Amino acid sequence: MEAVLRHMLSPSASPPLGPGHPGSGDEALVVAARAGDRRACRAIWEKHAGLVQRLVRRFFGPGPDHSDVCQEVFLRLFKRLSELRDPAALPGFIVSITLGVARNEVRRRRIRAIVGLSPTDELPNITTPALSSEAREAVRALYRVLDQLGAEDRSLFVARYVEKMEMTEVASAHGISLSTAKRRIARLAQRVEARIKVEPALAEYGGQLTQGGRVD
Amino acid sequence: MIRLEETIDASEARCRQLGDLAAQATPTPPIDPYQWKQIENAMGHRPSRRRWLMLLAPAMAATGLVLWLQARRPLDHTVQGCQVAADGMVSAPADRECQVHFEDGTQITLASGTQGRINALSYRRGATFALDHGHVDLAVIHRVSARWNVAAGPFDVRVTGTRFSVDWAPTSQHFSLRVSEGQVRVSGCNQRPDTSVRAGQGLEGDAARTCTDLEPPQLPAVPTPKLPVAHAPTHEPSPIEPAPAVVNRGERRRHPAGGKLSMRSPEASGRAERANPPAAVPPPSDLTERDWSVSSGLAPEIKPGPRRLTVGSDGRLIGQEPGTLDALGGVATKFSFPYRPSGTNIQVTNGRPETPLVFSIPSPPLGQNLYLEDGALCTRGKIAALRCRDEKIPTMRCDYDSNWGALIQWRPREGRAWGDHATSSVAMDYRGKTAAYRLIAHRQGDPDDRTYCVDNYRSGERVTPSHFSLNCWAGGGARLPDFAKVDTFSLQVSSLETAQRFRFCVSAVDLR
Repeated sequence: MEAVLRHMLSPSASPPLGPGHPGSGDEALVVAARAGDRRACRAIWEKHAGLVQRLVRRFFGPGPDHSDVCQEVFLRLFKRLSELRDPAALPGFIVSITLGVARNEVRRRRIRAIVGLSPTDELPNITTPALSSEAREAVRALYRVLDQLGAEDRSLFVARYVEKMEMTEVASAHGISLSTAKRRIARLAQRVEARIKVEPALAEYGGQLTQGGRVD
Repeated sequence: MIRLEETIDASEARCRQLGDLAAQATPTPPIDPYQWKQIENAMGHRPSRRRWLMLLAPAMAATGLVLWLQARRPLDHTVQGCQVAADGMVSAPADRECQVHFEDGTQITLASGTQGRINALSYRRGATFALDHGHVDLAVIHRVSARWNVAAGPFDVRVTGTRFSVDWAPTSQHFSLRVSEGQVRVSGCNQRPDTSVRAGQGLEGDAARTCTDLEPPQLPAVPTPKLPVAHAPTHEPSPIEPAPAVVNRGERRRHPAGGKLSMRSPEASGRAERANPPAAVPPPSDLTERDWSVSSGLAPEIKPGPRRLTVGSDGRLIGQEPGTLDALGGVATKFSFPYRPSGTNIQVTNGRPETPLVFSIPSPPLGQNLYLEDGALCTRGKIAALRCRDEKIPTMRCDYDSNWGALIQWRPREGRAWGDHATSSVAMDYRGKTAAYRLIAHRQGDPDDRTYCVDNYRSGERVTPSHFSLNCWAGGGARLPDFAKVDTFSLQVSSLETAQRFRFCVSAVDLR
């Protein structure tokens, strides 16, 4: 166990590539973390923090970091590790918790915005240098569209279309059946397309999208 | 058939591309080691909730018990003018009616001399009224979780939000039901295990539990019970428009996708139909125009006579202007017939006269691919499995256009538009293997793949043009404006991802 933890805590350990990544050592880490070993918890964090941060970022859009949301994800994860029946399924479990925390956060922010406790969310200027100005504006418009969706729909969109999760993974992460996931995503896609038409940035960008244009 | 797959594919493709764009804009950020410090601190300093829970537990338990008991209680009710015996029997005086008012606004009116018992359900869901004898009128307030029953001898009427009346005479075992708003389901009829009765319709049952439909002209105007003020109807029917019953189209629309129920208010229903006011046709002379519309639930512009088409012993449809029936199938649908020694035997040579092949096929005048069985025209066979590709996307591309299943098609006027002969509603009686049946209408002049449909169609269910839509499986699409231009109605079993055998029969077409 010590040897495993030393390996996991070495500087060469890199974040996982995403859901489905064969979590070598996850089982040992989960067992140790359940036993209260803080080093195992840290190893889990080091291994999967990138996944969580990426997923949270894709959920809320580029811009300010959402470290509080990421922190909440891991706190919940360590609390609920005992619920994980198959330690090898840790990445999927983390994805499920991340999307759940993100959905709750969206709902909480909406309520706070309604009662005037928080300003409405608007993406700041996107600074990703790989994107053209049109693409950046299109991303802002896309997240405006996602803001109009319910938390559940937003979560499904991000999981399926941004994070490119398989349908079975999407269903598992949301605690729904495969057929329900397929049905909801099909309806969601049509709703999103309808809303895209009223977003000028996306409508203009739509030419490139429908023609499979390259994003500069 | 409808090319919904193409519409959904386009949406899917656009979402994927937008997702790609968002993914590019949100790469994996670098990990900040300081975050672990924050998490570790939070893990160490999270206040224990256990102590607070222990302190609050007794109060929470007591509150929970009170709330649970409150939730479990049945609906409160009061009686007005009724006598309530010690054994719970509620009776109306011999010379006047009385009412039972429930706290949710539901009202039961007992005619003079009527007796029955109320069994209220827990969790305030509703109640069962066991009608001992007499006549009751019910005005049930619609609630999603409501359950109301009227039990009358062997007959049981289940409702969720309707106005209707029930008569029960135990000595003659005569039962009758009239629905003025909404829809009820009746069990107890021998030949119809579970029958839906809609606004404007009625049903009679006898000692043998044989049930017959009551024709619209026989329906007297159902007296409107007085509802509590909060639930008084806000819409009065005018002589021109149909009776603004709370048509439970929402219930009809519960398609397999689990879509939301959409209840249309009487006002909305009236507006949608007023947009294209049909030409008025004088009602029968023994009823005023208003009586007709209120008692039948149908517009006064009834076309030439309600009629019921049944299957004759020779396999033809019989009735006024019956039309014809055929069975058709998509590519790779194979029809088969049961062996009937009484059918026409023909000899087919396969090039060797000494070994002729003998087949038994249905004799004319049966329609194509149909055979006669127990007073119905039937079809049977096997539908090939759909061939699909791209299984990983939400909607697969399948060869539904060519392999669409099997159907029995009724042509009211031999392929011409139904025109002036069209009625306001149709109902098709059928029986068959368990499957998802769909009723389809095609308008003359439309492309073959442009049809309107009613998904999950039940035998005997009466439907009007507005029940048909272009995308009925998705709960949407343009509605069928009327039946005048319809040239065919079809009862279809759709193809699936697995091969399936089908066998179904049409026994009657009811037109009103």
